[in-house]
Amino acid sequence: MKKIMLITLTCALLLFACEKDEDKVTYQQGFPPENSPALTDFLQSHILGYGSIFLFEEGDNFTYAIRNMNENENTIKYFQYTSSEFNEYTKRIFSTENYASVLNELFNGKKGLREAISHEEDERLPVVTLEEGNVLSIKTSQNESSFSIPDNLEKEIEGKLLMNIYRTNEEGFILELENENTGERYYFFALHDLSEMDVFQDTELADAAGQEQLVPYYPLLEKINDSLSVIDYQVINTKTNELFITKDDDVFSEDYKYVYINGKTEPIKEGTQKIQKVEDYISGNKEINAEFELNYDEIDKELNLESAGIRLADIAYFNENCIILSLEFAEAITGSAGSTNVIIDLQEDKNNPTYYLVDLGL
Amino acid sequence: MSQRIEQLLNAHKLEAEEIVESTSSKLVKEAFTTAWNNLNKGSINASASGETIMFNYEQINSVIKKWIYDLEICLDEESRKFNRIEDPTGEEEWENFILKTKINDFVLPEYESLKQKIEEIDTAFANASLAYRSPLQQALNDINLLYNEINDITGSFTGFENVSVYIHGIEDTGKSFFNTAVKASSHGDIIIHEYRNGDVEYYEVKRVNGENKEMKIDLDELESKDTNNRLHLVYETEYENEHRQKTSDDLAEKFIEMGLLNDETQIDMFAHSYGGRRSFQFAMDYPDNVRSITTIGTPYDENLLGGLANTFPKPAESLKKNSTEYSNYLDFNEENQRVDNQFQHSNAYTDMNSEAMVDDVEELKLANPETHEKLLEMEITAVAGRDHTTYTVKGYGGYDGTYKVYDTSDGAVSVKSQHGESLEAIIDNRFSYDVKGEGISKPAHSFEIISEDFIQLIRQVNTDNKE
Repeated sequence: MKKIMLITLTCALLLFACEKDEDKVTYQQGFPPENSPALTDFLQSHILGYGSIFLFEEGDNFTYAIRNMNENENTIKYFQYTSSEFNEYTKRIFSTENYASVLNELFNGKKGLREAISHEEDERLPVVTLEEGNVLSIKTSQNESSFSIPDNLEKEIEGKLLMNIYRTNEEGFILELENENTGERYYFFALHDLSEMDVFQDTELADAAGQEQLVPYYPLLEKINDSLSVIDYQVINTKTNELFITKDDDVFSEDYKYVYINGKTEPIKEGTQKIQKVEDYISGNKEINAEFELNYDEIDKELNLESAGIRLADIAYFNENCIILSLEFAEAITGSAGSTNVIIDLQEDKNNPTYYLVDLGL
Repeated sequence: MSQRIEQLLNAHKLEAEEIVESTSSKLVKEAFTTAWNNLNKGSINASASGETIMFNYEQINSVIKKWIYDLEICLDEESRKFNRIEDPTGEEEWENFILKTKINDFVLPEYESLKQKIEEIDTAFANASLAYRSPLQQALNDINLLYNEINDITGSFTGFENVSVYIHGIEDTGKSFFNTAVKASSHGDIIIHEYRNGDVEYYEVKRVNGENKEMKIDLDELESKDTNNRLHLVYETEYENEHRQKTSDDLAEKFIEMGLLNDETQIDMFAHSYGGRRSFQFAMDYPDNVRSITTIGTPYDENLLGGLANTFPKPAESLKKNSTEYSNYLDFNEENQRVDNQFQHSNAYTDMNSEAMVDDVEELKLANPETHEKLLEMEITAVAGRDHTTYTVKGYGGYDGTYKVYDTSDGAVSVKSQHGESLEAIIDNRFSYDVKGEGISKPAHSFEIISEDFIQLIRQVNTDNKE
């Protein structure tokens, strides 16, 4: 009898131990040792940054436009690089221990990566100049024309707008125009044959969609799936013509295909973190795409911070297979006990990711 | 054998004469003379009366190290020579014994002692020069400023007329203040984050779906931006716990380099904790350039916890407080100094231990009433963060309900000190904000910087104070 009890107890203990092992998160310190598609996506997004506007990827080539930063820069300049050039440029991040400084150096030194290309090299690249009076002078592979922004909006615009390309594909292109003084933003849509052109203020996109004025331009938008596309930091249902943003505390991923539930809470709450596909989020169902644990005490212990608790915890980068959090811990009485980034690699297992603790300065 | 040592010592003495001559330091001459007297090699004759002292510790130290090496080689060679003698005479054995004794017990200890003295002289020089470093840096800043003005030299950021600076407190970085700055800025503003290690990052603020988002840009992109918007500088001090005067000197140097210390640019300063004292010092040094100061959690008076950490650094270390941090500054006020590893220095802790800001302000009033007047005109807001406890009352005197009792400090600094009550009319506005905290282990003080009320106040100042 005693023997049976002993075996039962041992089995129970073993089971308990196994369960605990499954729950426990293991952390790796430092940057992931090898490159991966998700990591390349992050590095491209971070290093090319806001100053580079991604247009399209074809084969080994990535095509971008250089972002105009002031009203005097009134044309569009394009550049390209290949994935092998990018990997060569960024490879030293995998052999350094000074990740934050190297990442910052890579960000600041990217000029050499940008090889200027002419619009003639690809039919998708329009030639656009913003002339005096905010009139667009447009030349595409199929046609040329001019377009007055104030005339079409039927409103006066004080000063010169800041013009940038927002997106282009085989069908047409979209420009983003901004009044830097007022913060007002406009989107100009055009098909490459220039048979259809229109401009809308960002605040009027929802009405324009509702009145089906955007329908001719739906093919120009970045597609999430058959019914959802992206426009102006929002998701549009091209079947119902409705626009969506997230609820206050939730966050879209970089590609707008996923939503981090409560990702905007400050600081992000510990416990189970939930990611939904945007279509599930919009339809209001509870389907979860990825789930992982977040425990600040464990991270504090792992880094020997002995902190007085979390002070900042927010999302620095969020995409399908890689989430990077930015954490800062408070010290007792005053000051900072330390900060770190947490890279959550969801590539292998969406419910049991690999955690890397590394200070990337994000 | 002894003759060889004599030759070496004579050669070393010649080099010593050259060192004394080249340094022109009486202290160095005294050290070498003592050594040569002890070695019975007479005195050092070189003159140490040159006009400029040229003391190079590394150089002198390496010469003495070479002398020690010479003697060790000599001893090694002579020992090997002796060992090769099959049957040494008594005289040869005696000479070998004398040589070993002379080198090991007499000359080498003297050279080691000389090395030690040179190290002490180096420390003494470092301490002496430290006291004058800050006035020299200030003078150099003034000369640079004047030179730039006369020659119409501008910096990369000249043209920005509205500048906000964010200065953190002790034991801290700029990370939390960066987040606060993003939230308190406006669409199109530029934020520069200057890290302690020298890294600099640039951001443009964009308003997206009703929220501010920081977009990282590089220097080329930044230089093509218009200067109509506000420029925010989140500044991390070179040393974590550096004295306010060092921060002020470094900040002035930084602003001159950026082309922002001029008549057109107005600076609004935002600070947390000891950062408030740092901002106040900068405002006293450059009153024409500062438009406003807004602080939270600042110990304007002497601070008990800071003083305790200064007096008892070991227990403070167990709370991860680095009150002995050398920060390359020495205050002339002897009470505002400490000695660690032979180095005299002053840091944020010595400052909080010995000086209330009102003392400096009183001195300023006597020494420079014009600047004092400018401080009075400057818009200075002192916010006190503090927690509260809610008590529930049931049926007491016929009253049912809850009432709040506010703490008298934020866990680190008293409300009175945070309000700078001793500074009287210098402070224009005194507010108190509720900040959640728990005692001193997780005090409100640590979370004031991210308080929504404080962010709103910064936003308001940034919006109102715009030329």
